[in-house]
This record gives sequence, C-alpha cells and structure tokens, in this order.
Amino acid sequence: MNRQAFEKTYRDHYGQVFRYSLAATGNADWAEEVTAETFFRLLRHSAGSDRAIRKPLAWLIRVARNLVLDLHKRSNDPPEARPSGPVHTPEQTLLSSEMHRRVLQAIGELSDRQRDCITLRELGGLSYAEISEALGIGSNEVRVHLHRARRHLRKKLEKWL
Amino acid sequence: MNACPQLDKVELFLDGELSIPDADSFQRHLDGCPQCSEELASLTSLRELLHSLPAKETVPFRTGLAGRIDWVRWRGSVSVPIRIAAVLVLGLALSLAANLYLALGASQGPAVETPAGLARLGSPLRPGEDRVHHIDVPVSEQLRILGEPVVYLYRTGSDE
Repeated sequence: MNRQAFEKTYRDHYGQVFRYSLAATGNADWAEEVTAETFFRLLRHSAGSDRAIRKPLAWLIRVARNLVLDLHKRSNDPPEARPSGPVHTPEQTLLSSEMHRRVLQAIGELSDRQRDCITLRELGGLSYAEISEALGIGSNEVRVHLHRARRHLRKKLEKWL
Repeated sequence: MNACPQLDKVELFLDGELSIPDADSFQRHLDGCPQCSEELASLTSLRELLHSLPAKETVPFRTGLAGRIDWVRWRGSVSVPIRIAAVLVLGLALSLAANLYLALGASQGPAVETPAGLARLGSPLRPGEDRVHHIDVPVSEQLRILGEPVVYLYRTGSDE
C-alpha cells in the first residue's frame, strides 16, 4: 500500500473505525485512542509492504477489535464494570444525545459475544464469514448471536425505532 | 397469526448473506408478505439507529495522524548506498561511544532509565494515560531498520 492509498483509506474509514470503537468500548476517549492506534498500525504495515490489503476496512476493524480487547485487559475494571451505563467522558458534546447514550448502554448490556457480533457486523461491516474467522466461532453461531443481540437492542431501543 | 416460515431469512437478506438467486427469490416474497416486510423495516431502523452513533469527522491526515509522527520513510525511499553509509557511520559512532564509555569506567553514572511516559510502539493507551507518545528505538533496532526497507521510527507529541 503506497502513501496515497494509505491516505485514502484513512479518509474513507476513519469515521467508521471510530464508530465501531465507540460501540465496542462505550467510551469516546477510548474510541479515539483505539482509532488512532489502529491507523498507526496500518501506517506501519503500509510503510513496510507494497502488498495491498484486500479488504482494508475488515483489516482495520480486526485490529481495532484486538486493541479494544487489550484495553479491557489492561484496565483493572472487571468486565461487568465496563462503561456500559451512562458514558462518562470529557467529550460530552460528542455523546450529548440521550438517544446515543441509550444505544451505547444497550450495546453494553449484551454478552461479549453478542456485542462482538453486532458491532463487527453493523458498525464494522464484516460478513458472517469474517466475523466467524475473527472470533473463532462458526457462522451459525454468529447468526444466533446477531439475532439475539438485535432482539435485545430492538426491545431496549423501541422508542427510537 | 402464524409466523411466516421465511421470517428467519430476513436477517440474512439484510446482511447480504443470501446467494443472489435466494436474495432475488426472497425479494419477491417480501413484496407479498407484510410480516417479513415489517421485520425488515424494523431491522433496517435498528441499523440506521446504530449508524447514527457519532463518527468523529475525519481529522485531515496531514494535520492529524501525520502531525503526530516525526517522519515515516516509505518502502524503497532510501537508496542502498545511503543505507550502507548510514550503517557505517552508526557503527563508527557506536565504536567511539563504547571506547569512551570504557575509558570513563562502566560503573560511573546511573543507568539510563526510560523516561516516564514513554510508550512502546503499538502499545495501546490506557484510560487516562497521557496522550504524548515517544517511541524509543534502541540502537539494535535502528541498525535493523537501516538494513531493511521497513521504517517507522518516531511519533511524538499530542495533536491536542
């Protein structure tokens, strides 16, 4: 990937990677860091290789997901203490909408697998096969987790649907 | 009312997971099935709601990400003679430094410690961690980098 291709990927996918990271972490500051780090890694990869990445978004989302996992491992919070309630962030303006806070809260209430599947599919744009590969589970399992996640979200977010 | 037997295909259809012939066939089914149409509308609304989550406007590359990196040398941008010359100069400098160090006595002076706040390349930040980065590249790494076309040395400063 040359410099121009890198810059295009950056322009095209920055917002999407941020949105995925926001949904996966529930925290705008973390999302910003994960997004920046993800593109640093793409930059490092790009500078060292002429080979094009076949699906840049899928590549970026997989990197972002690993960073999110790392972030949760490094933080001392137990999984259930993740920012799944109201989002606490200095960037209040970013999440000023009650609706967005509720969306993040509802995503935070999902099981880890359900959250992974729904964020990778809906915000990362990954196919079932790509999610299956990323999570090391079968495609049918992905389908079941997605279905349950959507059922939960529709119930919790009924007011806005 | 009994559930439509094809209701479970709605999500697959929405996610683009049906084959083209199956998707065409299901599209025709949707036209005559209010139950599946309603399900699709509801799932589409959910998708739109999720997509309404704020996506920070892309920071222009040159003022954003590039502004946090001292320099990046892209593959092939350094000619072989320059690399060889750089390795020779670095080797000479190392040799002089080693001699000087031995002459002054190895036990003098405190060990050089990594300044507080330094982060290794690629390590994700922890919540609340300072956003200032500096990648400390050891000499061995610099030699490796000079010998290879892969270069990504420093990123510094915050973009705030």
